[in-house]
Amino acid sequence: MRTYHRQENGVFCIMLNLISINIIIIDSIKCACYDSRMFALNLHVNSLLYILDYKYMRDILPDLIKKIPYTLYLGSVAFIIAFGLAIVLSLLLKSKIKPLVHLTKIYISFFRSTPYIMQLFILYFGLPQAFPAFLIINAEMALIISIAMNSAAFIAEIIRGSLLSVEQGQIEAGLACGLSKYHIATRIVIPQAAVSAIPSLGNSYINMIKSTSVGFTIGVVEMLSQAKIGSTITFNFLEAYLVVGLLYWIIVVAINKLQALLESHVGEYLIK
Amino acid sequence: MLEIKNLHKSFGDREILKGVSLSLNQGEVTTIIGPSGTGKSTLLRSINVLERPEKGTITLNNRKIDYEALSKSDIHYLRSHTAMVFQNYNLFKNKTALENVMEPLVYTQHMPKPDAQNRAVELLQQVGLNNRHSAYPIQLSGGEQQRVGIARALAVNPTVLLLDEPTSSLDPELADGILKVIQDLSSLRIAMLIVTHEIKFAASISDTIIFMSNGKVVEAGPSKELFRSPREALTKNFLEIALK
Repeated sequence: MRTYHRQENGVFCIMLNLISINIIIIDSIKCACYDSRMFALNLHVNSLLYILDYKYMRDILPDLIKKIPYTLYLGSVAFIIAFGLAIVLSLLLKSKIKPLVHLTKIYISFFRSTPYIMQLFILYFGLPQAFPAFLIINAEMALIISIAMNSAAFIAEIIRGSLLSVEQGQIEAGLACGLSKYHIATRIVIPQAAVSAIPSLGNSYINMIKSTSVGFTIGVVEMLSQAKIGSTITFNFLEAYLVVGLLYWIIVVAINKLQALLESHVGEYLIK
Repeated sequence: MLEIKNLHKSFGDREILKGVSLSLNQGEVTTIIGPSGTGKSTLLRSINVLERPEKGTITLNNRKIDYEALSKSDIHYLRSHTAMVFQNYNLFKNKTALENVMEPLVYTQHMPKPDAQNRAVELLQQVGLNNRHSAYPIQLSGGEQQRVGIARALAVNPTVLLLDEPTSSLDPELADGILKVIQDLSSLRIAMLIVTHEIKFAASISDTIIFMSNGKVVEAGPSKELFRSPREALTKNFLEIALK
């Protein structure tokens, strides 16, 4: 019998057993959540109106703000990997080798059709059971890789669609002028495809930033985990999660602003 | 200088070109006329291999190319010695008027950028676009876009200029302006192969007229002769309707 341990947020430790079916993990999460909710309710049961503890919110703010770069780092690294992977996938979709095309389609279909958190758990908890080599993947890597693999499936479709949106006539004009395929791609097709891809890519990026919060389930201490750890001690859940929500909101609004700037820059030629 | 022999092209099981042959001399203007859907555009697009004929040969400047055994260098040769003006202009949308003309100068002719820019300005002035060089295609009228299209085609420095219904997307007034530009080009002594429905324009500009119907050349001959006394009944009928 083979067992191994993983530390989860310092709250509880789960023992996974290969032989017996591991319901323990589900049960312990359920119990922990239920207990802490009831306990928090008891603490505040005297007041009919819940009064936000602003001092607590102020106090945790610096610690949470310190986590913003880490959240951005996780999301951005995942985005870069996803984008590279998506380019490979969209090239494979156009491959002349039929089995490769089918495999790519299965990949895209699987990652688009199953819940992201399940994909993360398979990578982090599941695969090491079958292939111990996967134990090398630590929680942070698992989070980044799973977000990237999941988003790549969506981004591949975005890339395919944006390339299709470039009129055939643009390519024909390039060919008729004697331009090489490389120049047609880099100077005509990709700049035009980028314009139609950027809004959807921006959405993907935002989704990926938000997906990093799932890291708390496997012990990656990002923004949400940080709030969870703090509030578990004092039971100020509402305050902690409101602050986290606000910070995510600010991040995404900032990304939207940058995206709008980028759009007006690359789409300059569309303004009459 | 340009000679096409026995060109065959099908789309699926529809045969569009059924053995077309024609020849063009240096500096001559040849116009292809005929009913819609008879393969005029397909013929033009076969010359720069935007369509790939199944059979036939083309000889351009003494280089003979067999469509059944097209190599990459053959395709490059045909595309760098011909240029095309499209019905829908097909200007590069993400490039300004000037950049559109510079593109073939820099990337096909390998001209240094400052020289290319000067040459592009010259070409734009030649087609009557004296300002608005930094406007994007979307900001230009149809007539202005087609002027840029012609300037871009000239930038390739082609032996043969292919014009695929250059005025069909324009209203009559703008079309007249473009026809005038094309007329002026004939003084440059570049061979031109034009597909058009402007029969009167064809009569006035062309040295040779080719009448095509149903994927075949029905009749070809000097412009004046063909308009005055067409030999074939099909040509006669078409001209009667077209010139009404």
